[in-house]
Amino acid sequence: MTRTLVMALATACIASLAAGATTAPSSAAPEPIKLAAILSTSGPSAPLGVPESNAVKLAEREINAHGGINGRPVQFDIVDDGAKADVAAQLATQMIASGHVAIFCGTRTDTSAAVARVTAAANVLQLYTTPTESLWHTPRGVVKNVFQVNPRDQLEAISLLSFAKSRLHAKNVAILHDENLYGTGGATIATAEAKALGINVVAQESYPGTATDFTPQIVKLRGAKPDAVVLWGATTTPGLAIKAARTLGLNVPILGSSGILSPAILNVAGGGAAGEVYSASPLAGAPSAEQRAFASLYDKEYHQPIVSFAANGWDAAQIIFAALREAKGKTDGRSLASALEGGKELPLVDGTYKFSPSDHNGLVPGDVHIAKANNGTWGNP
Amino acid sequence: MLAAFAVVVVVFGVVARADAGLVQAGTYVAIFAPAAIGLSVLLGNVNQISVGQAGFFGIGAYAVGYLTVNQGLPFWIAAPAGIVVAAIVGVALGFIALRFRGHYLAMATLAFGLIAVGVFHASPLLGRASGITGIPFPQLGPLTLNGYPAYWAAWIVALGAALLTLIVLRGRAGRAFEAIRNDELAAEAVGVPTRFWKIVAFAYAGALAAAGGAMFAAFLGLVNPDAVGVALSVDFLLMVVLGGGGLVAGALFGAALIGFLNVAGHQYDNWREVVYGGLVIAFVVFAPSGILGAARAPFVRARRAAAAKAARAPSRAEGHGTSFPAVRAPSDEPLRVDGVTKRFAGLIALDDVSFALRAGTLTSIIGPNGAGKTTLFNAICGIGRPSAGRIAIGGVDVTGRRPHRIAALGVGRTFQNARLFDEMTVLENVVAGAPRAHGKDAAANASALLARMGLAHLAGVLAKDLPFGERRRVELARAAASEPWLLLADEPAAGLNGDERRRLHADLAALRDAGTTVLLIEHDMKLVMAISQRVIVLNFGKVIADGDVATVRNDPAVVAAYLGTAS
Amino acid sequence: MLQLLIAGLTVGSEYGLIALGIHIILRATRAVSFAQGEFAIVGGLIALSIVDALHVSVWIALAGATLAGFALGIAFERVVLRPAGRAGETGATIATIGTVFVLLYGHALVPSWGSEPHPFTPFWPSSNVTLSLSKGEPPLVIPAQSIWVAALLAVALVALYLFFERTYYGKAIRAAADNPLGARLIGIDVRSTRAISVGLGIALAAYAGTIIGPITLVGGAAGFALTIKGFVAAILGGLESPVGCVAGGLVVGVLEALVTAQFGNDVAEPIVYALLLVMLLVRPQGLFGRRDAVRD
Repeated sequence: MTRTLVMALATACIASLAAGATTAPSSAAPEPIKLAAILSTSGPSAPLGVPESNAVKLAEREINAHGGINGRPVQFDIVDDGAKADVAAQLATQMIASGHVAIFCGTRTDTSAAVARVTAAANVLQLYTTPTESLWHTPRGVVKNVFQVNPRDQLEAISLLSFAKSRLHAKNVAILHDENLYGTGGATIATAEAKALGINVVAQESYPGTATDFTPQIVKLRGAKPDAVVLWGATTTPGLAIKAARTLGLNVPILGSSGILSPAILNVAGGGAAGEVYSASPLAGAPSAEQRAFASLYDKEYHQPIVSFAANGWDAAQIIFAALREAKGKTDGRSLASALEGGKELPLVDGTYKFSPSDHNGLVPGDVHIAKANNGTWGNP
Repeated sequence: MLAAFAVVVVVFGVVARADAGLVQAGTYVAIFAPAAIGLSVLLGNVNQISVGQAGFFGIGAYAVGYLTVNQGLPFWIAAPAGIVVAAIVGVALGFIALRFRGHYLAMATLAFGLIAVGVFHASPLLGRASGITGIPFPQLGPLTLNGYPAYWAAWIVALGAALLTLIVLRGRAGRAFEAIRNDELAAEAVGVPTRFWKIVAFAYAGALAAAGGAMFAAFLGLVNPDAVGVALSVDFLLMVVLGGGGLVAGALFGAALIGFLNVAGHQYDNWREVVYGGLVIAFVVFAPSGILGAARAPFVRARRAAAAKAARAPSRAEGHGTSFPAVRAPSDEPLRVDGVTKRFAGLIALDDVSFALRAGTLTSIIGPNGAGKTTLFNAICGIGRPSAGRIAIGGVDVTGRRPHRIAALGVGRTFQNARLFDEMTVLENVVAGAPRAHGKDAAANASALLARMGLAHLAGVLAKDLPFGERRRVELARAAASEPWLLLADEPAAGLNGDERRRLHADLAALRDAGTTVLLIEHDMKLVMAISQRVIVLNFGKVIADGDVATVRNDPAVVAAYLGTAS
Repeated sequence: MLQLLIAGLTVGSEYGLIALGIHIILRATRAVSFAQGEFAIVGGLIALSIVDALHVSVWIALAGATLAGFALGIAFERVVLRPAGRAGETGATIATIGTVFVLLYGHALVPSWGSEPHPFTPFWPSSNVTLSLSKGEPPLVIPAQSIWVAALLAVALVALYLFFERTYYGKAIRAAADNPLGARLIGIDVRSTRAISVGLGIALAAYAGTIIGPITLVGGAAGFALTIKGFVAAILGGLESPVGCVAGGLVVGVLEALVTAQFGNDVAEPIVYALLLVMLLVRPQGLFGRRDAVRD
């Protein structure tokens, strides 16, 4: 009796899992190319993962409306890792086992890193969007099958700090960052770049992602008397940091990472009261043709302005499409990677990507621009 | 049950071989299972809740991460190191946990989990928020434990942990845990070192969790603070509760349930989690004892019914003339109470009480309600240190000793309200009464004792199903199981009918005849007069009379203070 | 220093109200509500929606959110706590964890709420109060909303005090919580007092989530962290003491601000939790609790 129960339970588990993992399209049309996106669309990273997911859905629809790839339609399955690395790794294994030939993962550095181990073993192309280059650029060399969308931290840090030096004449900066992977990674690189440019880092403070009060951090930064503050964070929380800085009389310019470039943050910061705020992002500056086109598509579908995460999602999808087109029917990780490493220029939303065997990010400092907050909207400095 | 589960693991491993996704899901179940088993020991066997289990999991994971990546050591050294560290931290948490119960214990363990994550997050050595990445797969000779081999390796560890736990639970530790879970005070009184075993339980649970954490880090390749946070502690708790609290196999079921739920339905992001939350609520409402608990319920009911039927069967051997094995006190003066005073916040419960007992005698303590009789017993047994005075048992000064150490000297005790281990059978109760006896001997001795006392037909009945009168005698049997040379019986005849009273009377007399020195609290004057050699009268915490039955009966102070008011 | 004190007391007020809700629910049902922080988030979002949809003043939104919180609390008691309570305290507590999932991920499904936090209208569009204490030092800034939070905390506490001490219902609830059997014997409907208690506890959470909204944002995934802070506050002050819960909240808020300013955010949390453990060891009943509450 108990044994049958055990069996029944196990079978039920397996059945439900199988039902979840397989999606079986059946039509006479050419078999679709199956791609997977493993994104954090629920949980603490959802504010990042949801725009990425939105962009991928849009990319799938657009590519199929334009005839697919090499005559085959594209099926982009999006799953949610709930911001958990072990879940992401398992989902990647499931996806690869069920015939998905490239994986876009993901929203967070830990989920992306866990999946990178799976894609490396299975020889499957992987794209990720977090700003750290450590997933493709390891001490042991370049990881063949992993590519990075989005300008890496370094490019943002270089533009922000050179802007601080040349235009704001800052000699001392303070760094305030989210304590998560994104913020900590950014702060580390910003510190290094500041040193390279001869700028002193006079204070460094972090805040939890669920922070509600920034008084302790701002009081400490204020005490260090910086000429400017570098702010590394995302979602709407940094708006509270800006607001607290202004309330407590820390009125120096604030230089934010690309995660800051959203209208919502300025809204939280108090619109015009936000003062002198800059952000380094590919989306800043005069919009390129690609940016305008994507922004209009996105607005039509979701009635929202684009944020950097949406752009990242779109670019990741487009790079995978480009690799599939170039590789002419081959879908293994090495072939797709070699196709991208060929160095063909890809003008996309975050800039013009030009990959090579030694550069799996493909963007240059010139792809990152500085935006300035002006009465609650982002404009040119 | 474990064997059945092992068969499922093997069958699943063979059938699902071709599906890497299923194999990996199965691997993660094995990774989380040891922590769930450890927590199920804590929660189900020792009745200690922990909302900090992920902290230990994290210690195992970080040990592997740090030692393999930063120190270049192999997994096989790193993992045991993590387990040892976790066990040591578990001892520390166990010490802290001794002070709390219920909600406070939940909060204290939650705080532990938060501190663990905070320390991981703040340590530059452990990579702060980024944690440690690039952790290599374990290497077993030429074999890299990844993918399919990882499934088997992880399950060998998980099933090994389950088997080890079952073995531990069948032995002395298991009996001690069970006694603690049922009634901590009574457990102490029969000689179970409850503090020691609680600390052992925390250390054991921590060590198992660390074993899982070590596998987690090695198979996933990374560990960071987010991965081992409170959410994971909550997951472990859900595994134990939904699987079937208190059963090793239940923890395995729970791990499998949560493990597979964790990787199913991910195309539905937020909806998935809402449904998950709803399922948790539904489980608590409709299957409060978990999957396994619900599945077992009919069997448990049937067993209880069968035991009850056996108890009614006419096999009832009359217990008059019960004889107990002869015992000898180590000194002529088994108990000496010397100037003992006990104060509770302004109230004096015992006031300079002194007396000594001679070996092999039966002495009754009488006195009106609130005279301090039970307080005196507690002081003798080590429950609550006297405010002043000394107590010597068998010539040894035991003032301030823990109750279990006093019990271990050879002191038995029954309680005013018959504190049996309710969820255990009568036989198990009596076995628990001699916590130092070994496996088979313990059961054989206990059965023999039950037979001698005419209680053999009740052996399989759960203590909570016993009628009131039988509870008293079973408690006496439990106290007698350790063959004590000093027995403290707190109103054993209260609430019994005439026949039951006579039988109890005979038991006490037989114990005395076997050499046990008996100290009896009793209200029933007839019983007192019939079996006592000596009577001590307490009133307002003071000894007001002390002597043989006739002397005390005629003492005017006693008549005024006690007999006068009682009759 | 004073600046940190003000900040600490402001967030501490929220912790205190969350802790108070935990206390009321614990006392009535013997379950520890892990969902308290999530209810605060949902309460804030309800207030936000009321302002956005009806274009009414924040004061009406505050009243609406509090009432909605009360209704949600009644439903929570009826649908979750009461049925789950049959499985004992642990069962009911586990069921509140299930509720966390439902609320945390459920609120993200509401189109206008989503998973991102939103800014919320201040209660009074006035500027901050700035005090220059001494020359050369940065001036002391008291945000207007901090003053409102303090005032609204006081209002809630006075209202609760009057309710529990002066009204028949309040007394009945206390009687039913302390001695359900006795209360039943004198004709109190224990089931409904329990439901009302939970309703009050959740209403408090919604109230807290709304008044702090202009300072902290409403919505997002911060609910669980808030629950934890509520626990810490309740333990520190005394789980069994309503005054202790509120005082504990203020202490935790201030402590957090001071420790963060002194040692940095990275180590602030472990330090605060370690202090909690030490506190538990030294004075397990909390600052205001009775000793006998700790064991059993």
